[in-house]
Amino acid sequence: MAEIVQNTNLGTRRKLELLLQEMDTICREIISQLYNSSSTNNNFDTQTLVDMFIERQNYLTQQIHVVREQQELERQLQMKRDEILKCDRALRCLQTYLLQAVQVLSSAVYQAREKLANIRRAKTFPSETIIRYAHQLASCYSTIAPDNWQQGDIRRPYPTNIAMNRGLLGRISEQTLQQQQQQQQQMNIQNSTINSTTVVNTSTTQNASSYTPVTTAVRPPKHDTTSFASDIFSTLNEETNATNCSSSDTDSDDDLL
Amino acid sequence: MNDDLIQTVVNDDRQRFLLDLEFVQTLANPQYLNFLAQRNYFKNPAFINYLKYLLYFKEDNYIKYVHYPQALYFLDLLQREQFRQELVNANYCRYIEDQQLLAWQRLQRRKSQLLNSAVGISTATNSNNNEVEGTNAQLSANAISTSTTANNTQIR
Repeated sequence: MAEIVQNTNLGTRRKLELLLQEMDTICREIISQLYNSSSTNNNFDTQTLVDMFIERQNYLTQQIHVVREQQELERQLQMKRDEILKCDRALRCLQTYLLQAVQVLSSAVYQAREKLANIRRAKTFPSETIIRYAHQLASCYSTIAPDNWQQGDIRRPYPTNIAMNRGLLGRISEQTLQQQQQQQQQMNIQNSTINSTTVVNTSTTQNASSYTPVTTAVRPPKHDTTSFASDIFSTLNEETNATNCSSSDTDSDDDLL
Repeated sequence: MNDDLIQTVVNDDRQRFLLDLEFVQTLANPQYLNFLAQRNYFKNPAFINYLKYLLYFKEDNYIKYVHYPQALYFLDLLQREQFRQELVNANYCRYIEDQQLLAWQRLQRRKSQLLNSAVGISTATNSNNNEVEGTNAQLSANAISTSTTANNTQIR
């Protein structure tokens, strides 16, 4: 029995089981001997059996001490395992933060590099010019809508009909239209009085420079740019490209908005 | 031609420049482009040459006079024959106009988001007034600079 108890390969539970089995058999043997005092084949004397029983009982108490120690160890092991789990969770959290930070930083670094490359490539202007131009663009809402813009607001990111009519083009076309109307009135007067066909010829020559309109548009034409357009095109075709208007250091024109 | 105004414009360099500037900026208006297309202006080679000539507004000296930078984007597109042909279609011009307005509003929403997030950050950190103003000014300047750089890249 001593070998079994000292055997380190056997678990405590197995040792306890074996001890209890042996104690059980010894008890039965003692009781049967006491009960059948007349039986002849006694392998073991009662005293021997009792000694054996006591020995096993001692071993049992020893093992129970061992069990207590092992329980304490097991408890501490469980505590350590819990701590490990906690640390594991914390590490995973940190890892996700790290990955996010890596992503953010890498994109930030990339954008910063792009910006630096842009800065190196760019032409330098004084910051005041840029700010003035930015203010100019922002003030007429050409690139960003006004904060209180709703559906039905007439403001647009391009010059509207009203603005165009107020400008140089609008005034020229108005003037041309007025002259055409005056000429038509004169023709009507002449028609009613003289009633000749020479009027028709002048009207055709008047419209010689105009294009044949394709009237698929529903709206009446807002700009009759035909009269001045031909003049401008003819002067432009005489000159070669890019005439430097060096005198145009004046600020933005008053006609637009 | 008996028009005094036309004669003064043609003879005076400044007036001619103003006319060019005005016309180039009207090209930002898709309805006007549709108008021009339907009256066959884009079939005239002299007009096409004029559009090519107007590209000088993209240079540094002249671009600072343009209030509507989208016009320069359309000017680039107008150099292409296919775009000029498509402009006759009124639906296409309406589509362009819708996209223009939507982009216009989207930039405004983005700007307000940036400003709101800047305000949110500043209130959350409970910094003093100077720092708040500094942050706001810096962030608003960033917002403006990103929009203008966006415009410049668009123009290029």
